[in-house]
Amino acid sequence: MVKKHYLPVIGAALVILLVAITLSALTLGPAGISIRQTVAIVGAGPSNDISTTFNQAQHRIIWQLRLPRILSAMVAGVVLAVSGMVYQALFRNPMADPYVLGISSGAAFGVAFAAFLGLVGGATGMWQVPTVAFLGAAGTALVIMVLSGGVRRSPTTLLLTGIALNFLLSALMTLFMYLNRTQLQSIMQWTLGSFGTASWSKLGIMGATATLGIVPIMFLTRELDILLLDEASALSIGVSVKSVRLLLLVLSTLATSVTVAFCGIIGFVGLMVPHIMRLITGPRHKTLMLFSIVGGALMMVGADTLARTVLGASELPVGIVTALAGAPLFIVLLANHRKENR
Amino acid sequence: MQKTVGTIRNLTWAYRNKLLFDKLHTEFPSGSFISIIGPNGSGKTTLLRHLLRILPSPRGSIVLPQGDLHDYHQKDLARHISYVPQQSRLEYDFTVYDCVAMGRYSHGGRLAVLSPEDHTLIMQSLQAMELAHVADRLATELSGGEYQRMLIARALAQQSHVILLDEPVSHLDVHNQREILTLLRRLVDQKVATVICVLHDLNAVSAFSDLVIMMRAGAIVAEGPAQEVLTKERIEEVYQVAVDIIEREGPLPPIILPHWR
Repeated sequence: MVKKHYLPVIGAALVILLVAITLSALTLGPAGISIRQTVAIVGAGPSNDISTTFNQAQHRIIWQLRLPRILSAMVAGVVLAVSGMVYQALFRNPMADPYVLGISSGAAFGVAFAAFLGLVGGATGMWQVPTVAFLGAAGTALVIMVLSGGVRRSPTTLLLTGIALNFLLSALMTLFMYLNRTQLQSIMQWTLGSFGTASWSKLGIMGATATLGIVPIMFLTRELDILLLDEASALSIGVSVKSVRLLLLVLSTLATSVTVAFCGIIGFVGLMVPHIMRLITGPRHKTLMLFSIVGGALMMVGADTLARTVLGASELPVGIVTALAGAPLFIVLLANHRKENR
Repeated sequence: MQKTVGTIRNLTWAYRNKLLFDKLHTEFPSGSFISIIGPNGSGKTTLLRHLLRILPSPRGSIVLPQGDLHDYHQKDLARHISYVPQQSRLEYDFTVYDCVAMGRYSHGGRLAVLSPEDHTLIMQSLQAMELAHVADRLATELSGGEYQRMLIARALAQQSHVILLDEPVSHLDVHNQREILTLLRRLVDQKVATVICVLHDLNAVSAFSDLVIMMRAGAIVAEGPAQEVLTKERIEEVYQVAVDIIEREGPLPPIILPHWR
């Protein structure tokens, strides 16, 4: 934990870093647009594409491809980081995150199942996909709550339940892919995670549900702190534990599922960001949440830019990048956890 | 008639088809140090958990000054009763100040901002528990006695009328036991709160309590001032251990000496 009066400085540094990474993400790519052009294009606005510093094609690349993509990555990063933070408090388990618990898989399963039945895709509206994703994620969250006995059982039980659900759901999704090869590509996309299909309209829905899910959580940071105590203490301090936990679960699951619906499963961001930020801020959620918001955006834009550029012309799924960074951290946490419980 | 902070009427409670309480009845007079004693499994902690509304509703009623316990809003209940758990350990690096500040939750608004009055109260609570000097330390670094005092400071910051404590000193050395019980006694004497405390040490019970409630197998077998409840015959019957009671001069409480062998 860093001394309190350094926090604003570190926070400001993270925001500056986020702006810098966003600008480089906008600039980087095969189109060869310079950073000065990028600034000019962004400054010119979405409709004004005539200028001496850039051409129409460059304007289109920035405004129609890269900007919605980078903003989607930011929203997804914020949602996953905050959801991870909330799940870690709800289950009083430092290793909880939407991916590890199987909630992301639940959302992807919802979409895959609906696609398999022919309920989504094609001419159907934009809202079908997030709705089935939410149903899948909420169902999974419910199963986890019941199977792991809420928070009373050991942290390991919770993780094992999540892992078992992940196995089951990915087996079912593989089955759908096997049975319906025409949908293979689109189901595949949900299981690996990508911002390649980002658009302003999708971003609008993502942004709206993210706001709906995340903003109320900002007003529940004191409750999140107190939920880290045992249930009897939390109740006696005055927190209506059951209803607050349910509310937090619904809010974070809503935000997560819509993110998964549009961007697929992106693992470990919800695990890594709150962890790293907690090292800086300490456990108080009021500060931790602000830092996780910036950190989540930062990590996801960075990961997506890496996924988009590291192989040159072809693109890596962003889920692979985050898993390569996150899985080792998960193993380290697991090892430390075992040590402490010995 | 003395005011009460709570009355238990005909409390009947079964758990897994085993009847634990059968029409339990008692009241807790305001401004007292009340000790609940009895052998393990006699229902002391269960009784506390009913007062905290942690367990599902029993039959019968628990009446608090503003009506039935089960009609209280959670925050209103927190402003009436606070709780110091038996032996909780924190796994997160909150500072001592942060932990005590959590006690202000039921008095605060929607925003996680502490007012200057909150701050004053938190510092007063820390001072009352002689912890002001460790306010910025991590709670996980405190000794057992300091940690227990921090939990009491949190209960104080909650400004509740009643503080419930479940065996607050059972894992501490005798010095820390006496220190904490003396601090609790002081809270009662200064009319800060009514203390309801589950205790095992009969000598501590007799030294500090105004009222003793003795339980066995889910029933209250005796209640009243320590000297009346803690008789040789009753202790031997309830605990199934032979004891000697050694009277001392003046106002000093007698010493209860179990026969170890």
